[in-house]
Amino acid sequence: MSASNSGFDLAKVELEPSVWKSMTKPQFEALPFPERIRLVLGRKVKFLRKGEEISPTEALRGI
Amino acid sequence: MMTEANRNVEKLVRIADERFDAHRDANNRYTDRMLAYLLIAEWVFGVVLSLVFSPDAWEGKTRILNIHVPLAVLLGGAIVAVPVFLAFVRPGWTLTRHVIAIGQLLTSALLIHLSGGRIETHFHVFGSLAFLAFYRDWKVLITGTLVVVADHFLRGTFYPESVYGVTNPEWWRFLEHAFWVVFIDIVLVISCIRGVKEMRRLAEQSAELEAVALSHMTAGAA
Repeated sequence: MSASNSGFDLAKVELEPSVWKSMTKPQFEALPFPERIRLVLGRKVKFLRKGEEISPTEALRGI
Repeated sequence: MMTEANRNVEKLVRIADERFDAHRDANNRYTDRMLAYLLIAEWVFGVVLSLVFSPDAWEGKTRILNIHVPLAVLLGGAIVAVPVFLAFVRPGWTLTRHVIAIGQLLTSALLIHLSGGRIETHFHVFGSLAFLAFYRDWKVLITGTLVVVADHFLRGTFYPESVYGVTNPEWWRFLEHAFWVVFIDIVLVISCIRGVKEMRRLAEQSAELEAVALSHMTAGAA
């Protein structure tokens, strides 16, 4: 599977309740690792590929 | 007071660190063993080289064994003995890979000498540096490079036929060789740094996937 059809291309992060910020994949990956874990554990991040939401497992499986 | 969420974050960060360290250690141990076998093979090759190309010398009408043969056997054996020993007794140790780097580049120096400074044998230096890059530890490349520079400078000054095959090379010849070594070092150091980043990313990715699983469990329990 190539990089283009695996993983995500956009992440929406919930900074405050009901306030979501869009981040590109490089921007999300540039966040400190504990922060990314905190977001995933707290289900405060949604992943999108080509505009459609995908599951976190599918998003994070692709490098 | 630490919350359950913070404890889980700490735990997953620790898991990622442990997986990264384990992956790196496994790679170091594998490379130690691989290069130990390579050093033994190069030693045997050096002995064969000395037997094929210069087995005999002449003292008057008496045929004697060329100095290259005992040099290949004894000096070659001494060069590979310590790195091979460390590779099997202390695999994964930081000092082991630096000693292997020294042994690998001294083997290059010996092969260059045994071939009479043939320029083609100098390519062995580049091969050695590429093999050392398997460690993905750029500091090992620096150790290897220092050995090459010191060897070329000293032998180029005191015994130039041994390294360049001529008795009177240009004074800057070692700088030309050093330039090409630095050139390949830059490429290999970049590749080492990228390799370590990829190992780190893989460890983090596996911890992130565990975080996803844990978040589902937490949500299911709530």
